[in-house]
Amino acid sequence: MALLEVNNLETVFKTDAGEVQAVRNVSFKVEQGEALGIVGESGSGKSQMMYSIIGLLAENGVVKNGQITFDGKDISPSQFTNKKDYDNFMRECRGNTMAMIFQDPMTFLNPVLKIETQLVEPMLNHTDMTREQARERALELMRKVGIPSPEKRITQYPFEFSGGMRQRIVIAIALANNPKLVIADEPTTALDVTIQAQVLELIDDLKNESNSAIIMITHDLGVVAKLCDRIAIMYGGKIVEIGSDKDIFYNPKHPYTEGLLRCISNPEDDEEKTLTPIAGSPPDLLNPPKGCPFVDRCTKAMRVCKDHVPEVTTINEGHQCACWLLDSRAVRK
Amino acid sequence: MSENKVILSVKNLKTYFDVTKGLFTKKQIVKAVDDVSFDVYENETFGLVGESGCGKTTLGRTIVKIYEPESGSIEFQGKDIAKVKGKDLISFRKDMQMIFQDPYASLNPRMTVGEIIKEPMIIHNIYNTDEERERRVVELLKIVGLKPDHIRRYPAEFSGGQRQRVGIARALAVNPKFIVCDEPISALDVSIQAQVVNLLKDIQKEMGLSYLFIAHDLSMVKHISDRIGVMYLGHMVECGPANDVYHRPLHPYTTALLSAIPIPDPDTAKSKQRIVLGGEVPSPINPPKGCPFCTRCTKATERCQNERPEPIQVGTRIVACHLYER
Repeated sequence: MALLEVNNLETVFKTDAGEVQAVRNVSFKVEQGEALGIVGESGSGKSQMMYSIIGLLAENGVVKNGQITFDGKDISPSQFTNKKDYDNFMRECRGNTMAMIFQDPMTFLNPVLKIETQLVEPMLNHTDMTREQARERALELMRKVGIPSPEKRITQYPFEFSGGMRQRIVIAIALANNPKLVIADEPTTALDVTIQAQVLELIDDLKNESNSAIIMITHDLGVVAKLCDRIAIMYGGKIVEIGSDKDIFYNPKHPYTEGLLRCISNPEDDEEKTLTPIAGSPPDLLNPPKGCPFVDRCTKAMRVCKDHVPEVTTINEGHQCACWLLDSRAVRK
Repeated sequence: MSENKVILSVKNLKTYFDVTKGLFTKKQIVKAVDDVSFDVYENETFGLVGESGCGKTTLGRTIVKIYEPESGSIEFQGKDIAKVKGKDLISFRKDMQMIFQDPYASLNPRMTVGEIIKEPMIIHNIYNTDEERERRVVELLKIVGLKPDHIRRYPAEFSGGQRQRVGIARALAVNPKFIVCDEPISALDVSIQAQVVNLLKDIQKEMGLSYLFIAHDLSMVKHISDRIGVMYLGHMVECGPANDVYHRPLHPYTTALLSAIPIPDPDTAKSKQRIVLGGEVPSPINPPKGCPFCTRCTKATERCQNERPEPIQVGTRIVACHLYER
C-alpha cells in the first residue's frame, strides 16, 4: 500500500472576488522511500496542494473534496467532526511522522530562540525522551547535516548562521523524529548555486540512508532531475502529467511538459539551442477554463479541449497524462 | 567579436562602501567591487555571473552611475564617465539604460504604462509633441509584445512577465546603445523567462544594442551571452567567450560554480560527479589577503594565501589565478 494516497483533492480559497480554485481534482500516490518531484510555475497550486495535505491552509482555504490517506489512516479534513479535532490530529502528525522543509529558513526558524530549543522541541513534543536525550540526538542530527562544531553552534541563535547553514538546521529539525514523509517546499530556491549544490547533496545522501519518502516542490527542473524518482507536472491547479524522471524528461506527452523542456537550456549542450517560450500566461484560477487548463497556450489545442476536461490516459505503468491528444475518442479538429 | 568596436571599457574599477557603525569604532569598508577591468563590444551581450554578495549588481549600478566609484575608469563610447556628475550625467544616460530585477518594485504603481514609458522621453527631450511621444509608446508596446490599448492601464493589472516587458519598453524609449540588465528574468517563471530572453535577443538584433546581462542563473546566462565574466568577492576571476568558459573553465571557482548547476537531464544529473565546494563566501569586510577564493579552493597553495593573483591572458581568456602563471 502506498504511504500517501490522494484522491480527487479539491481546494478553494474564499476571497472577495470569488472562489479561487487552487487545487482542482488532483490524485496521486507516494510510495515508501520514494522521491516525488512536483513541478509547476507560481500559482499552479503545487504548494497549496501540499498545505491541504498537511493541514496548513490559510484561514480562507478549504478542502472542498477529496480523500487523503497517509500511512493507512484517512486524514482527510472531512473525516473529522470539527476543525479543532482535525487541527489537533494534524499537529500530532506534523514534526513527527510528517515533516516539512520550507523555502526560507530565516522565517521558519524563530529568531529569539536558541538552535537547541528549536531542535529539541519536536522530540520533547512527540516522544518521551528526556531533555538530555533530546540534546544528544540534536547534536547527532547537527553532525549528520554537516554542521561543524555542533556543541558550540547549538547554543547560538539563527542570525549567527548563514543561509545554507540555516537550511541545514531546518533539515535537522525535520529529521528529528525519523519521519515517514518529508515535504520540501522549494528548499534550495533561496540559496546560492554552490550552497544549493551542498544542500541537494545532503538531501540526496539522507534520502539514500533513510527510508523516508520525499515530496519535493520546485519550479527548477534541474533540481528534480537530480533528486527525484518520479515527477508530477502541475498546471492550473491540476496534475497534467506524472511519470518517472525518464518518462518526463525523455518521453514527455503533455504539450505543457514538452513546452517547459523547450524553455530551459542545458549548459552541457554544445550547440546553441533556440528557446521556444510558451506564449501567453497561466490561467486565472478565479475563472479557470472549462476544459483543459492549458488550452489557451497550447499549440496543439483542438475543439474538444476548450469545453471538456481531458481524462487521464495511462501510457505505461506509472506514466499518466491528461491530454485529449492521447485520447482516441477526441475528434482531431 | 574582435572585429567589433569597444563600446564600454571598464578599467581597475573600485566601488567601496563605508559600513562603519557609530562614531568611535574602527572604520569598516566593504570592497564590493575591487579592481575590476573588462570590455564590452558593440552588439554584444556580456554576461556577469556570481553568487549573491559577489558585487555583480554593484558593478552594474556603478557603470550606470547609480553608485559613485572609488577609483578607476568607465570609458563609454570613448568618454570616461567615472567622474561625470550632475547634469552631464543626463546626456550619457540617454545612451545607457537599465532594466531592473523586480518588475513589481521598478514600476511606479500610480502611473499608467503610457506615462511610465513616456517619462524618459520627456526627461531627454526627444519628441516635441505629446502625439509624437504617444505614437512612439504604441510602437514600443508592439515591439515588446504588448497591445496598444495597454497604454492606459496601470502596472497592477499586469503579470510579472508583462511588467518586465513594460520595463524593457521604458529602457528602449530613448533609443539607447547599451542596456544594463540586472537579473531581468530571475523573478519570472520558467516559461515566461524564455519569452523575455528571446525578446531581448530579438531587440538586440534589430536595434544593434549591447547588453551587460547580470544574473545568477548560469544556464540562462550562457544562453544569452557572447562573453562571460565570473565574479567572486568583488573580483573578476575569469572572463572570456561564453562557450570556452562553460566547457573549459580555467579558474577553480568557475569550475566549481559550473559543476554546481543542476542539470535538467536525469541521467546526467544523477550520474554526474559534482565538485561540491565546502564552506561559504568570506565576509567582504574582511576578505582574505591573497586570492579571494583561497579559503575554499582545493588547489590553493601558500602563495595563494599571501599574494593576490593578477589577471593574465590565457588564450581567449583572462583569468586571475596563480595556477596559470608561468
